[in-house]
Amino acid sequence: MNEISHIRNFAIVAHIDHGKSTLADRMIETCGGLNKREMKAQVLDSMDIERERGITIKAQTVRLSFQAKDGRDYILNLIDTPGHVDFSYEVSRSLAACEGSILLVDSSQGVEAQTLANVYQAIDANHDILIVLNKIDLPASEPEKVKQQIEDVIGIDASESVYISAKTGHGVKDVLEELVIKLSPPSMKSDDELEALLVDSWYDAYLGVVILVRVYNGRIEKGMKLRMMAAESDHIVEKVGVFDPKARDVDSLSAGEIGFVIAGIKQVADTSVGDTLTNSLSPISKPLSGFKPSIPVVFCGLFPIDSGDYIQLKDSLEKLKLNDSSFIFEKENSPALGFGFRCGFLGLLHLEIIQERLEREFKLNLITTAPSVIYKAHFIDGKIIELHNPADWPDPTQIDFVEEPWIKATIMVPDEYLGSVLKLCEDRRGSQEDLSYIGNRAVVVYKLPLNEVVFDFYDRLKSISKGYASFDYQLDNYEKGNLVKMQILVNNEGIDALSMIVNKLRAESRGRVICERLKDLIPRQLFKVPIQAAIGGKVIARETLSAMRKDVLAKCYGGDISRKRKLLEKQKKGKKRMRQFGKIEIPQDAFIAALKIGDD
Amino acid sequence: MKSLGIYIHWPWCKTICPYCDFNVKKFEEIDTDTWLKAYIKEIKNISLFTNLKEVKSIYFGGGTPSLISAEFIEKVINFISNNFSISSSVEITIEANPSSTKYNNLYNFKLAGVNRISLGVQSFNNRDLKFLGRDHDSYQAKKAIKHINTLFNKANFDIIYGIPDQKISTFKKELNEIFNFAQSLGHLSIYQLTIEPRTPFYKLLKSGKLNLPSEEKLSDMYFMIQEISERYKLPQYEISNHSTFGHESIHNLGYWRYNQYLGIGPGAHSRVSKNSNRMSLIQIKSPKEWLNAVIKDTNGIANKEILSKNEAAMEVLITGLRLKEFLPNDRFNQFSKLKLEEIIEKPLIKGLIEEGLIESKKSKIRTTSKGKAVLNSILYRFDKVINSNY
Ligand SMILES: Nc1nc2c(ncn2[C@@H]2O[C@H](COP(=O)(O)OP(=O)(O)O)[C@@H](O)[C@H]2O)c(=O)[nH]1
Ligand SMILES: C[S@@+](CC[C@H](N)C(=O)[O-])C[C@H]1O[C@@H](n2cnc3c(N)ncnc32)[C@H](O)[C@@H]1O
Ligand code: SF4
Ligand SMILES: [Mg+2]
Repeated sequence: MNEISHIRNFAIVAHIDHGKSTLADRMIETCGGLNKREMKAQVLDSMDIERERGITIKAQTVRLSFQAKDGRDYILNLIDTPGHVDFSYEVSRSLAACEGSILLVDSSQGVEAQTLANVYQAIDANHDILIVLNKIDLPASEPEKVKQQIEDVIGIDASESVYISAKTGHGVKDVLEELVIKLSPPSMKSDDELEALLVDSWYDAYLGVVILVRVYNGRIEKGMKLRMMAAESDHIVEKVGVFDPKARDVDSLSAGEIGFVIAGIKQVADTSVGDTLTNSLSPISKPLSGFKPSIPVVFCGLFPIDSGDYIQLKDSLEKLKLNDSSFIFEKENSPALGFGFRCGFLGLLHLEIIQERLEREFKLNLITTAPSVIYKAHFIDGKIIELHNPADWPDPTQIDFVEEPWIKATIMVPDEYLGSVLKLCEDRRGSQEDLSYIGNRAVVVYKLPLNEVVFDFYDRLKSISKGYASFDYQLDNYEKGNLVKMQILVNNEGIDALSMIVNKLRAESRGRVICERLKDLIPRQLFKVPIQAAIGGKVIARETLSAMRKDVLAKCYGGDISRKRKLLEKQKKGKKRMRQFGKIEIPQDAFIAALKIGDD
Repeated sequence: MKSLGIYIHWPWCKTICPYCDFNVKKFEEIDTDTWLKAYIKEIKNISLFTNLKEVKSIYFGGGTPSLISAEFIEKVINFISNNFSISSSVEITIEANPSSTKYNNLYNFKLAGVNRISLGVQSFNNRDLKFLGRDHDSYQAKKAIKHINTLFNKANFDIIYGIPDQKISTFKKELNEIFNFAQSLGHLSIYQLTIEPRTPFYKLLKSGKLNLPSEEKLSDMYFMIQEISERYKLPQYEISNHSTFGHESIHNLGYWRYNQYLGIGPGAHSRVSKNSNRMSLIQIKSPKEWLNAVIKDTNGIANKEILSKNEAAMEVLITGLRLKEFLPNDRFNQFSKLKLEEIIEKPLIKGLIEEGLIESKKSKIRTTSKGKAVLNSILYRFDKVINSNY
């Protein structure tokens, strides 16, 4: 049993790339959690993709043993948090398991949009906050200025900030010392009834379902019967352990501690993150406040390019789901793309990451259809239905009105790009809520329809600000929208994979972009092919692909007909990835490219 | 009245043109007697694969067969006539390059039995001739045509168009000159320049140094040819071939009608009947190896296979749809399980008819002039119908 006053549970909140993972690595190194050989850069970002993209997707945890200057041994539990807007929900859940946070700011960049969003979450969670200014080794580092910024913008005292370079390791020990001093130890009740929070769960090929828990009261030990209150299920605890950062078995986890539990749980879906855990034999009466489950907000279809891969895609999705309960999927059948799945994600990045993992880890080639959000269709007869697939769009005459989700977006951008950013937001039907300044950087708050954001907003924002704009958002509310289903017709046949729900006023310009793009992408056919965007029966944009005019072998090589026959066979092989639409064939690449967001 | 053609391939040329992808080699000292022996032996070998006796056409192609002596040609012709019966209307063609077409040569070829000349003019424009790497100029070409005209009743010359930087306006003027000469000979082959892999032109194209006319321009040129050829009464009877009535190439029509033919010489192809199937024979490609095999071993055959019914059916279309005349359904149906009558009812093919690319009459079919310009894509559809049963 560990003395509770010697425990500190903390998270690091930061904008992406401010050095969170690097700092975590340095702390692990400093505390001797891993020897040099085991120490790969950014050990906490364990998935290949995380390491490659340099972002943290799933929260990870590590226990550090630290002997402070006061001569005592402390246990520091670090919960690494994801650094991207899509995963802000996971941030809040990580924060709920700790008493304090390190606010990490890149001293050469200053406060960014996610710095703000995350630190406010930490403040809301009643955290003690230790301010750490990173990257002081850089010539552009201006820690004094950033300190002032933090005080001005966030309104917290920054006088005791620690200056570090996570890269060189300078100041990292000071961070550990300050953590011990500044952060409160966990508190506990006088009785010893088990009260714990289910922080996360995932599937491990060797161990089965692993749950990450924070114990608030009492203790969890091997052999006991654990109750998950919301799930209303009981499990015998088989194993209890901590990550230091390798998984290591311990006898028990007691109040204040964070660790993992294995309890013969069959699937991740049987666990619900935020659930309260208690002792089945002497359960507490009221669960902890917990937190809301994460809900998918962005949907799209995922189809295998090779239709023979359908079963493999299904298996792979199921496997991924074991580790990531935040995305969902169901079967979908598209005439254009064959059999596939309709999937829901926390955001666009989440979508991209899942797609990439499917392609990389499971060697699948996929087509991703245009992302959609969840609409609420109010029918004339009073019925309300949620829709996230244009294919399910009901007959407009039966609909009273449709609501769409709006977000509140915080964008920080250097003054010189403000004009373009405002224009982008206005073009995307945004309404301005606030505009203020931090130094020469503007902080704009906009309400935006989410469906304009999933289209290509983030990429556009990055490109018009040359990468300087930072962005964070939260779902806000649903509002009535002037929404229609726009269809794309090629040679007068609707291509379901390209249908999308759009604002009526924006339909024409979007339709035009897609028609133009398709015209470039579809190879010429034996006759001219109209490419149209239409709402209901009304065509709103049109392009014509002119007919192929010359495609013939001028010379038949003497009696060598085999040559021509072989050429035809080769051509046929090259056209394997063609899809037949009535009289014409469209290469699948054309769909993929037309659907590719963000490069128009 | 089944017809048989014989093709003799002569693989040598004085210089190799940068666009050429035929089985050719730069001329070197060769032992003519050995080569003659080889051709004669191989004609005998290959003739065993057909039971047809009457030869309707003989074609000396290349390469540059006009480099061969008339004596050589005569011995080959004589050997063929001793082993087959020669049709009274037999057509015997030799391909000639203007640089090796003196009046005397032509005259001797005529005495040897040759009754048709096919001359590789390529262009009457010296700049283009130079670009094409030819070893003759337009003056030599015109002179050769004149000699041919006085000596032969049937003759052809070849033209290449779609040359980099070629302008529509200049091409139009050239076409008039071309058709004037063609009218006097009664036949013209006019080919769009094809850039073939592994040729010097291909490398130029890949390195961006070949400014080929656009698809639009090429199509305009093609239709311009059709229009002018009608005016000169030399209508298209095959995609790239034009003739006055009765001056069509009997030998080449044999390929396009999918008749039987024997190909002798390095890399030459044969198609012969084998029960109700078609058999393909291919000769060894390398001239040296071919000669060795024929002289020292049994024969020069590199590959011998019976084509599947569908392969043969596709070949009927590949060849037959190049022609202006209708393709009779029995030529196709003898091979294909799916009959032509059914095929033209399939949506993929029906679409072609609706779009005016194909015409059908009493279930015979043919490509229209517009259709011929995009024959590749048309064949692709037929292939899909026949082999994937679309
Ligand atoms: N120069 C310098 N670079 C740093 C420092 N800390 C982190 N970096 C670099 O900043 C980038 C982002 O760091 P990372 O730890 O992945 O940031 P995260 O997104 O917050 O986890 C990486 O290229 C790091 O090598 C530092 O103190 N100095
Ligand atoms: C087999 S070649 C032999 C003719 C003869 N050796 C000559 O070149 O004069 C027959 C004809 O094919 C044509 N030809 C050859 N290569 C071609 C190419 N790459 N594209 C278009 N036509 C080609 C030329 O018009 C040539 O005259
Ligand atoms: S002369 Fe004729 S066969 Fe010889 S290389 Fe030139 S085009 Fe080819
Ligand atoms: Mg990271």
